[in-house]
Amino acid sequence: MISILKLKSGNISSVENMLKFLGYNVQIITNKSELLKAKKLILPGIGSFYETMNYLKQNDLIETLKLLILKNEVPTLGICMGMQILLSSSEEGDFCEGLSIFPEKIKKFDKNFSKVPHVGWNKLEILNSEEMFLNEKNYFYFSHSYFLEEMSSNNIISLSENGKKFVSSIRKKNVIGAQFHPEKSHRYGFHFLDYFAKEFYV
Amino acid sequence: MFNFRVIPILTICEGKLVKTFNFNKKSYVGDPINTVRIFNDKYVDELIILDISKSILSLEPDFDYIKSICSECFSPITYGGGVTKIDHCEKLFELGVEKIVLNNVLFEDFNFLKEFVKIFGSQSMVLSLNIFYENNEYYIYDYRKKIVTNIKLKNYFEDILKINPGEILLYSVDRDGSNKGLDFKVLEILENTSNIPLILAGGLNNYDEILKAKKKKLDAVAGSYFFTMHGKFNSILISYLNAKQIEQIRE
Repeated sequence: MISILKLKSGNISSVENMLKFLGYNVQIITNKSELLKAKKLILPGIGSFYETMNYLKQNDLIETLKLLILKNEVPTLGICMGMQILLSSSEEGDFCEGLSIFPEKIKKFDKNFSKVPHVGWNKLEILNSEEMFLNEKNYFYFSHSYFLEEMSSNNIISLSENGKKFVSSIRKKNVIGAQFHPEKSHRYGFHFLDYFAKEFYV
Repeated sequence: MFNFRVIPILTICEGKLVKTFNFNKKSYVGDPINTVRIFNDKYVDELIILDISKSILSLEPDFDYIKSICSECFSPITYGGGVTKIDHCEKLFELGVEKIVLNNVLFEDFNFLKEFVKIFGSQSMVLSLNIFYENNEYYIYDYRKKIVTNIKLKNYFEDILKINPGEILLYSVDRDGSNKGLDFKVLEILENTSNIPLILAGGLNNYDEILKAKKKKLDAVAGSYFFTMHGKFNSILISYLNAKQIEQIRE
């Protein structure tokens, strides 16, 4: 069973649809007690960093999420904003702390170098965890204006480029973060989510 | 860097997939959901779904129907038709719609557009500008009234940019459903205006045009006839790029 945490303004259906299409059981969860029972967790999300963290705070989910990820080592995948909140903070909106699973910060793309927003299909340069990807050039669908500039190299899964290089997916033990949307990336996404659902950190 | 996108536009009218000609005469193509399924199997870059009956009749989007469409497609879906409230947008995003095409509100409610960007971000908005080429000039076309307005594209474009939309869909009404090819000339007019992502539509009729568009300052091309019909009798044929062409486009 895979649990998807409903975040404010999160696009849950696409993730749910793809997992179901791949043959997995999925449940949408919203509160602490459901969260504590999750065996495999997905944090989806669109919307802003501040709004998302504020929503988690209001619903008293921050500490539970940290406990789940850091102590209980529940295999977790953060997608797009779901990845960004795994970091310590973001330049988006008023300052607030992220879940700080990773110490780095999220920055805003600079219009002088990059397209803002970065929307569309982009290539991945895969540095680690090749098994999550098809054995060919991989393309994924992106849609974001804020990004992860750098990270200690053993936690980087892939880099992509928008004017300059940025970190497009990350990993630490039981946690994966993907800036791209596997649920919108047809066959590349099938492979990625299938790997997460079936083989990741079991 | 970015990948140039090739996007089929599916026009829906009262639950049927139709092909329009100059935004007017309609020809029946088939069942929308079946067609979406076919494009999904072909690993389409993105789909634009336009429900043209909604705004003409001032109806709300058909959320249940859009839900079924979204559950059939694992590529990004861009939807337009009858979206006039923030509440509509919230529902659409929850169903799995990636971006929303806005057009009619352009004539009425700039505040709605600004609010949209504030709440959902630029990247969720595709502004569609229906354009009509006449007497050496590009004008904005109002498809509800079916008239060419006296608003010139060039002037209008600058106003539009103030809304800060994520992308602009430039749809040539005089070429829609024709075999005249894409209207590349309009790009000259918009040169030096901004770096806003542009999708060009209307008249796409062969693969070479897609290659040509890729070399221009365009982020995507979109078409409906090219992906749903062919031949002089307008026979129905749902098609997309083959694997080799997809690779070529991405190079």
